[in-house]
Amino acid sequence: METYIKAIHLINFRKFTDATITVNSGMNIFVGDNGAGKSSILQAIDLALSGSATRVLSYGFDNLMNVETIEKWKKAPQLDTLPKTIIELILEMTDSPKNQYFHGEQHYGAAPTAAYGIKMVCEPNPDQMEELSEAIRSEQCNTFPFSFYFVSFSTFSNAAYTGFKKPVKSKFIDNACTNTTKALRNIVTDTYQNVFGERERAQNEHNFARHLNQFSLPQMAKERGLVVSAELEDLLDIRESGISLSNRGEGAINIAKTESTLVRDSGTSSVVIIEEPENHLSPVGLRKLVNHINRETAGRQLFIATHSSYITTRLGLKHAFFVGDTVKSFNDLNEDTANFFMRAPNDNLLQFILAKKVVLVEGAAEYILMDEFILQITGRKSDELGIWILSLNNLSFQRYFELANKLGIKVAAIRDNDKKTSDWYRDCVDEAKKVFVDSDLKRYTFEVCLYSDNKNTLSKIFASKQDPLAYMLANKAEAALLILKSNEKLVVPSYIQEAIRWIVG
Amino acid sequence: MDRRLKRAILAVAGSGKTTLLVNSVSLNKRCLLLTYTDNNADNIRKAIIQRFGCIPDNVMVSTWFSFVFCFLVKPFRVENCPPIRWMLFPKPNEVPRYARGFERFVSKEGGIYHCRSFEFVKQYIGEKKILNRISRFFDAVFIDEAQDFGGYDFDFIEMLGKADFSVTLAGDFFQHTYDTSHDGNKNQSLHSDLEKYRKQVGKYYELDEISLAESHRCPPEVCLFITEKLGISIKSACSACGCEPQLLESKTAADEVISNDSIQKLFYNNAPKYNCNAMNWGACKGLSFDCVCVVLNKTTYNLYKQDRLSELNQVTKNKFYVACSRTRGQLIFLPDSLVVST
Repeated sequence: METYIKAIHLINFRKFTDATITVNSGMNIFVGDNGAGKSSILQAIDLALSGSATRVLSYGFDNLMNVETIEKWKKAPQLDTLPKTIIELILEMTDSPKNQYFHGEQHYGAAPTAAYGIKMVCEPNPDQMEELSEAIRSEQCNTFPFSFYFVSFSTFSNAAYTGFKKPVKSKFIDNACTNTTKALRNIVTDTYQNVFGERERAQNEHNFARHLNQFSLPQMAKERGLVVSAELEDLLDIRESGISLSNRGEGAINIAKTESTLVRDSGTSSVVIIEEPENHLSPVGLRKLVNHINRETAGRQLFIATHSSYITTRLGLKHAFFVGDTVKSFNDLNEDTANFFMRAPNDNLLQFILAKKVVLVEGAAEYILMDEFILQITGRKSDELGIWILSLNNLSFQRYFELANKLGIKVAAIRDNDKKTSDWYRDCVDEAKKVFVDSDLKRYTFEVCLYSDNKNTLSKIFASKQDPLAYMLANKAEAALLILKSNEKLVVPSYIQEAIRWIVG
Repeated sequence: MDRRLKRAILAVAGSGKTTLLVNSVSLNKRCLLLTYTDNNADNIRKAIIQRFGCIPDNVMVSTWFSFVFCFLVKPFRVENCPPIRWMLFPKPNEVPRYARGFERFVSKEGGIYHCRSFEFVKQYIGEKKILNRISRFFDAVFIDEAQDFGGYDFDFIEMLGKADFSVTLAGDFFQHTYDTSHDGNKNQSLHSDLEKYRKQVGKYYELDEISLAESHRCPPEVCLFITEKLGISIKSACSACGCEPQLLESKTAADEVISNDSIQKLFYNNAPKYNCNAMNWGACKGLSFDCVCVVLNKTTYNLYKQDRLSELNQVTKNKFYVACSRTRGQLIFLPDSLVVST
């Protein structure tokens, strides 16, 4: 691909005060909690490429500028410290004369090195400085002077950028709000423009206008100034088996939208931005969509914001970015680990990524009882403590440790000793990641530990069974549920107690 | 292609400069074509479109000042420099003479003075960055109307002499009618004689006085007239048109010429004031017409009558030469006393 976005530089934009995100030339997946700034990143790309002041104004400067920056300025309001909101897209381009327009030193990077790129700058209008300083002097500055701000778009050569000379074609698919009339119209228009070239469209419109001219309302209408006025594109609809797109489910609309965009212009380099592609999709629909995205990505740069573990792992964890207090790339993730998560059952990956503290347990029985154990030891519930419990179900905890390492997550892995001494995990632990096992090799698995610490209570709960331990070992999850239902207090095995105290502390 | 190749082609009027330059453009090298006037830039663009069907992505055509402003001034950061928003084209006496620092180059409102724009670039951005930027985007630079690069802009021609890309200059010394950047005494005496110009350019460029020595536009009669009367040597590659350049002095003949729109009238100045197909001598550079009528002002008329045209002052003579050499056929002279202005 000749032209693509190399990095995104955000200054005072939404929640970012100063962030540089180096992105991949192909797939980019942003994951993170609600409000972490995933959508802001997508929006920044879209806004900068659009070159459209109208678009910026429709959001309003007050919605684009970082709130803390505004508050900070209000404490010491001064003309020359008024903040700017800046979005810069640093581009990769070939050294062709047509691209010189994008190349230069006029960017907000510290070093005056020449690069390709475009920028959007919201700043006080230099032509209104007098009025502005008057406004700042006279007011208590509870109101930030947004009315004196203006937005400009330019390239790194300081040439005006209007969106007419886009470095790359781009398309924003916002699935967060499919059910608006405008979104539906866009799908129809996109499809229409995919089918017909510019000249054919002009021809169609001309024919349509000719037919429209032949139709006339009765004289009465004319007296009131009523006329028929219509644009062909506004009247188009897409029907499948006679059912209009607007009457189909949101999921179907979503797939139609993403497909119509991905199929368009195949071959030419372009940027496709997709917000939450998983919205309104069933697991089957989601699989279809992911296959589609995977098939159509060649020669494209994709930016996807998602809450779906499935999308993240299937499109490649290595291409993911975790958006939290900072933006972290998974680019240098071990190839094996990325592949592991691509193949593994994945429904808990994003939970893991988004958590601050995680307890990894061996299987379903521990998973079912862990909440109760935590409550018993600390007197508080796990979600109050910000602790996520994940069941490994025989998967390798080392893979999760590698992710935890990147993201700074505190992880306790509670494991069975399986009759082995503790040497085997020594290499992968540090102060943020610990493995907890029972030191007694005879207590080789969770059920054995639990039973030996609670013989009386468990014999009571499993009174109907001949051999409670044998039953527990053979029906791990069932037994755990029965224990939970009994409301009996159990002695928590000491290695688990230790783990809980450590993760809470 | 030898990227170090530096060539200066001294051309005569109508010898096909534009054609030669446009033919040197190809799709497999990145080319920059610079010229002084908007007219000539348009001519070059048209010729390129005629050849390739469009302006190919590897080709950029620009006027000199647009190039300096957009390609050299705007993309670079200059520490402490006030923001430069546009380019100003003041008359020589409107440029602040004694200003120092950035005020020497940039007006209060943020306009950079055109005549000092390249001096600014040279001083604050520097030769290395200038040449690097051109070299990043271009393998070959062509400069048409190179004789017009005067003042500080001639430094650009010299600077390109050291570049790692190929440079081709094409110009007609005697068509030097104005300096791109006339400022103080900078390179002032450069154009006062051909020998000196040759020597200066020859330091960096291989001089080619053969490729464009013959006019493909002017018929032999016109070339002979220019050579004999103006002392500017020009040969014709065309066949004879069959009529000598002639001076018309009767009112009827004059009216007939004025009202005939297929004859291009060329005035010393104030062409818009005449209600006919008229243009100034200075503005017609680069253009060709089937039949040209050069209107003589009083000075020129008197010298013409006394057969002393070669004594015209340098600039007027050059302009007069440009005007005479526009024709593909007949060349007519009229005294301006026979032409009524509105």
